[in-house]
Amino acid sequence: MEVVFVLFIALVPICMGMFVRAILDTEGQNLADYYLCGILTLVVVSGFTQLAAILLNYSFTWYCSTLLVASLAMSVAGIVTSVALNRFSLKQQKKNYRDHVKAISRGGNVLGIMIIAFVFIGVLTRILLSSSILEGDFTLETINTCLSTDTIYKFNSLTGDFIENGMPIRQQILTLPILMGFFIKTFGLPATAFVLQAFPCFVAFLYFLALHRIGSFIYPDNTEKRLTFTGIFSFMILVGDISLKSPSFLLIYQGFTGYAFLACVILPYLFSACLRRKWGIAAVCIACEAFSVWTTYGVGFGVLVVVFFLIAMLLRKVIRNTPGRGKEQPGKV
Amino acid sequence: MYLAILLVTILYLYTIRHSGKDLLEYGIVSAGFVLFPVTNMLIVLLFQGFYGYDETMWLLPMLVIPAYAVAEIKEVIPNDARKRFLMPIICIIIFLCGWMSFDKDGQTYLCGIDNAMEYDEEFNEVYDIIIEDAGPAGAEGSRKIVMAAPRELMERARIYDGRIGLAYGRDLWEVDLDYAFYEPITEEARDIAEKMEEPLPAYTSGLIKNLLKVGATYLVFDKENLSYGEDMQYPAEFSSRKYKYSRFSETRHYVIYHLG
Repeated sequence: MEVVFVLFIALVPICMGMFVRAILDTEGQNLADYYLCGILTLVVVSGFTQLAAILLNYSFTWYCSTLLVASLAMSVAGIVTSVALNRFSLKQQKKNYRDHVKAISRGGNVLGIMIIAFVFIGVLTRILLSSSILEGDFTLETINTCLSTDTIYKFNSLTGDFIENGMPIRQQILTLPILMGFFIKTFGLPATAFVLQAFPCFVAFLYFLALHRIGSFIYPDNTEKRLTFTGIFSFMILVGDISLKSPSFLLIYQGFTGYAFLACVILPYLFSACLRRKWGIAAVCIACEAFSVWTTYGVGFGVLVVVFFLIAMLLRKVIRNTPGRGKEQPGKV
Repeated sequence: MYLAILLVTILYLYTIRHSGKDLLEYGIVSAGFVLFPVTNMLIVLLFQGFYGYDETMWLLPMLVIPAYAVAEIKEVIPNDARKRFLMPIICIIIFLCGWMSFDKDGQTYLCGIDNAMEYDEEFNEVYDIIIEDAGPAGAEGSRKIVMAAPRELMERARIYDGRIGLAYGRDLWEVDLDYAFYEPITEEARDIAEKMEEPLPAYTSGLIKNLLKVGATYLVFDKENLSYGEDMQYPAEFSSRKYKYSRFSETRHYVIYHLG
């Protein structure tokens, strides 16, 4: 079943991403974008399915079946839409891949790729060898409660008692533990190993993917600069556990939490979406955040990032229009 | 220190009049909002105090702008010996500002503090004994598991198996978790939690009364907190007028009782 899970997690997000991007984004055919968008969409779909299960008093099994059907249906819709609208072209992807390989086949660039790969392996090693910190988090308890009672947030995760006094709705829509429970139940995965080791490694992979997207936008044609940017960024991820809440610390020691997913996947990808003015994708990121961490009724860090970007765009106009300042240096991006 | 690196690189990009794709402007705006106390306080208020100052740092492009600045600096440095040493020096600076610079309670985060994967094997043994005694879930005659035990066992129980119910949850001693559920923590639960960590008092009727009130069906005592009876054995039972907890198993460090 692990093989089926790997196939599911490798292919379904790409197809779901095709569907979403066919609606929201008419440009760009990068596989990394499809995948990241698909993962965030999967979280959003999971959130809405969970909300329906809670409001309609359905079981965890119902949620799992519905989410499976919904994700597969969206995947099929994504493939059909992309083929019908000619949005996804294997020929184009092969060409992109050939151009990519050609660009990095120069000696220095190959070394750069190797260094980044080495750093990525370093991050994975730190995740796998470091002990997870469970203080302040009850993801595993929530998953085990769902699996043993076949309900979603009807029983107190910390004690196992029936919840009589209710719980905050903003807590009930947090979908990452339930989504992990879906994978564990549907594909028969070992709960503790999946939550504490496999999922953080997956989040690290998504982090590097988002980082790659930022680098590709900033330096679309200059491979050497892109590799320098990516190398320094990834090295800062590897050694950047500077405080209890820094993204690197969360990734290595609490990669299974919503905070790690927010800081390492949602916010970087949202950042790249704002850089590229993809406001539809930004909306998906903001919706994903609402289902991943506690927000003020949907207003979270994602909204603030977008607001800061809008202010930054305004500031850039002002600086450009100021005499003697703001003229871009020739040859610079 | 990464914050210092961010501010230095923002200053560098500003002074070279570099305006790369909104990065510099976003850096200035986010740094202004996050680092200025009044706006930072407003951000914290927006989140109703749920997030603090540390979390607002997520808004800063703490890694993007320094990485971007390094890529730009590398182009400016002449292609000689200086360029060869540039990247190693930068990496050393990043390393010294990052890893091993954070201490919590005098311990650096080389390895984590808490290890959920390598439980003490004995904890698993206790949980397995209780689950086996309770019987298969849903079967006729199976017991509901509500355990009261020392804290180290209570912390791991529901991570090990969701079937194990607890007399009180981790939110009793982990204040960070008190937002999650509206269930109040009763005085009986607080009293039990305190008494499970100490040597058992001579008169246990108050403790037994509280345990029955919270519905505990399994008790686990640390052997260090129990004393032998006249028969050189740990107490065979703790009883009230109607119910009793009988000793039915023990491990190397713990004695386990179930409600009879």
